[in-house]
Amino acid sequence: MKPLTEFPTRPFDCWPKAKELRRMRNKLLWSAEERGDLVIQGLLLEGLISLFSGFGKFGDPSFGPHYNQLLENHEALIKTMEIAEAKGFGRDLCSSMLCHLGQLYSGSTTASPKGGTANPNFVFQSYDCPSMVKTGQLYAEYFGIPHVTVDVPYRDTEHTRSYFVQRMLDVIEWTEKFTGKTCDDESLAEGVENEWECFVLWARLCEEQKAVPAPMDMRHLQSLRVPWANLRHKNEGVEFYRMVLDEVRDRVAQGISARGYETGRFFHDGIPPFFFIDILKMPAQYGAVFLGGQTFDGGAWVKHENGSWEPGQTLKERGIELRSREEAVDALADLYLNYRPHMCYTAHRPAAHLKRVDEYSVDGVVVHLDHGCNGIQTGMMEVKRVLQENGVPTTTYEGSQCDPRDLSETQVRDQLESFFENLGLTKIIGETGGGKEEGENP
Amino acid sequence: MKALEQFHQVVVGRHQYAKEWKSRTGGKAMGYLCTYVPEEVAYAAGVLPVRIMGSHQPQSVTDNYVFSMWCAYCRDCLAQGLLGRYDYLDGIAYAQTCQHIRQTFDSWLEHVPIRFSYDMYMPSSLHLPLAVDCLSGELRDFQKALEGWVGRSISNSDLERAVETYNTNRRLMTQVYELRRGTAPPINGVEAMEMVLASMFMDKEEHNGLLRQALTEMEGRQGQKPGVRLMLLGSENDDTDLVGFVESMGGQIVVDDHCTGTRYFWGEAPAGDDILTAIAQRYVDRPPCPIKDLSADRKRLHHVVNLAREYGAKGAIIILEKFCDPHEYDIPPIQNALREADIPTLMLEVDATIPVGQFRTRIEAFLEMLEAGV
Ligand code: SF4
Ligand code: SF4
Repeated sequence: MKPLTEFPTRPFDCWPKAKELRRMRNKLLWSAEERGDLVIQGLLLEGLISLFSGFGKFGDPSFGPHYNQLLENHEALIKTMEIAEAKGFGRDLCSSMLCHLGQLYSGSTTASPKGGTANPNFVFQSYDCPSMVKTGQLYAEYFGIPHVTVDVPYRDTEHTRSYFVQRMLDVIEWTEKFTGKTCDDESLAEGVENEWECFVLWARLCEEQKAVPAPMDMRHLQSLRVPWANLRHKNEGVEFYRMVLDEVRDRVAQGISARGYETGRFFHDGIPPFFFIDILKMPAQYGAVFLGGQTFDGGAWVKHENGSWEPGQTLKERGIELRSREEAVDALADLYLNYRPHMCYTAHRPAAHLKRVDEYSVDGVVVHLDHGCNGIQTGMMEVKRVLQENGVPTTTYEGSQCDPRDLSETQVRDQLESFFENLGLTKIIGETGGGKEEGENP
Repeated sequence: MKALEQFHQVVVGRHQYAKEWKSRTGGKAMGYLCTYVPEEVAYAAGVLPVRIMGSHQPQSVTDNYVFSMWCAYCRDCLAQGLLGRYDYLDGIAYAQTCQHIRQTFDSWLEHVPIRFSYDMYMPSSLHLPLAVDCLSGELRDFQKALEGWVGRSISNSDLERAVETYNTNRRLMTQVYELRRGTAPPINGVEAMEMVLASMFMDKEEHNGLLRQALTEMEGRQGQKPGVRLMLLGSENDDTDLVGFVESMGGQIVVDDHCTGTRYFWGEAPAGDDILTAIAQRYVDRPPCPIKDLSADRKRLHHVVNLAREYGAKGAIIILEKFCDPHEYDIPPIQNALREADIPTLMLEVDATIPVGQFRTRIEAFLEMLEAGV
């Protein structure tokens, strides 16, 4: 490991903007009905959000309005999951989806924490992960509204692309008929360009983590990704990520570090336990950082044969202009078919992760084995094996992203502490691992 | 030897059968994971499709490759590959369904030597008309890949012959199942499961011959003693011991919704101008696996309730492979639908092996309740 050198650090200038965007997203949702806008319910709208940008503003209650609050209150979180379990859903299902189902059956999905309501017009879910889609089906049945899905193929061939593109066009047409609203194709094109750009900006942001010292840690990235989830089709989303990228590049130029020291550089693979998110700051107690990991998945990456990933280019940079609905949808298909490190189709994962370790000068990897995840979890044991076989110090811990019953914080802390200590790290005086930095929200 | 006995022999000696088939015909064998792999295309190329399954024995060889909280079935399948039990396979194919079995496929490619592999994109929104076009395109690619592998082209008449053989197989198995609707079925649950399993391991022409023989033999066969008529449904289940165990306690399994039962053989490829489209149509139309049932009216649910009614099931046993999320998501809606149809359910969570004592008590209580009509 590296000697304990102190690097300058400073709070992020973009936090207030991130907060503002969070408020904007909430406002969009809770006043949608009042404004006569759509409310489109997804589970984790990981995919294809810009498909609806031709329909004006819309509310998107994915994650559930109470999700963040529940993550901070373990007792309430467990109770919420027990509501779903009482309906017969097994405890070993994806814990995030179980939490969503608990919110659904407790009636809280449509209720704002501040008293408003947002009744979804329909459920839309891209088929990225089976758990999400099956949960979406239950949502639609509960509300008695349509469940609209789009399969996201993991291979770009003539027929998979035409299946994907045609289905998206059908969904737009269906939405027009169902809602009586007309899709404005210019706004659709703008939304697609924005979504593309946010993906690219996110990849570029992650790439800045190659710098020594790293300008952010994974905890920062986790917080910075919140607007990406819900607002990446909007101008405000793009402006935010342009601003963040500028700021992060400036941090790199100035040698500003994530948390002040960098005795070791680590990746955290797998979805982190959101209810115990400070685990991402644990290396800071040793003057080390988690550079990222699963958070890199929000980027548009060009994947090379040798496993290496490189940020893609925006549509504008490539001189692509979207002049029709068909072109917009085709560009969206291209993004999802060719530029995302497909989370579910994962044979490429071990090689890519090994390459990343090299390119980001990583000293070790921590892999979270999530008891319930069926998507991102795929291939994780193979990742661990390949890393270890190639001499990359790697450890795993078992847990859950959303179910505190499946993770012992003390045990995981002990486990990670011995991992770091076995690598020669020692706890530093003036621990920087605790506390909450302004704006940091899961 | 009676046909049912021959099915049994093939099931217990599946590897031997495949090896003998290879030396007898000089053909190649292709393992497949999941019944969404359109095996008739491989059959048209003169290849023997063999479904890869587990052995129901405890194992620890997959621990480095697959998370232990993934279903025991997917781990057991991989274990068989790692232990060399499928060393006669020349190729392996997978069609996208569940992530667990995908992991088996990915890890198989990594750790089990194999010459040919194919990963087929299988659409999930099968309720959409678009799915047939997409799947026929995938079938065309699969056909090309197979041609490259076997070193000859697969003609339309090869495909037509294969479809005819597969349709016959499905028709004959349906006929056998039809006989289970009566009060004294000539075949019990174990025998029915072995018949379907044998079809997954055998050359379909040979299996068709045995099915015809079985149908003739069943004409003179004395029916089963009346028992509590049951349906089996749920995750992958090829555990004939478990089926026999239920039947030994007075249950009479008359129908199922398993991918080792009706879901495997239900429905035929329709006649049509384009043979690959016809094959695709059949896979799109067959009773779906939960992960592919995204239709607004839940096709699978209606199918299950209809089957239970048509076969006079008094109760249903839902087999849940531990950690099998796809089926777990469907269980509450299915239990509700069956309850509304007055068909009580018992859920049994299984692993590679079953807890006999605990299951005995639960099954006995369930059967008693059904007998008493409470
Ligand atoms: S990818 Fe994993 S965590 Fe995400 S919804 Fe799917 S199962 Fe849950
Ligand atoms: S569907 Fe269920 S039983 Fe089948 S492989 Fe997936 S998890 Fe296992």
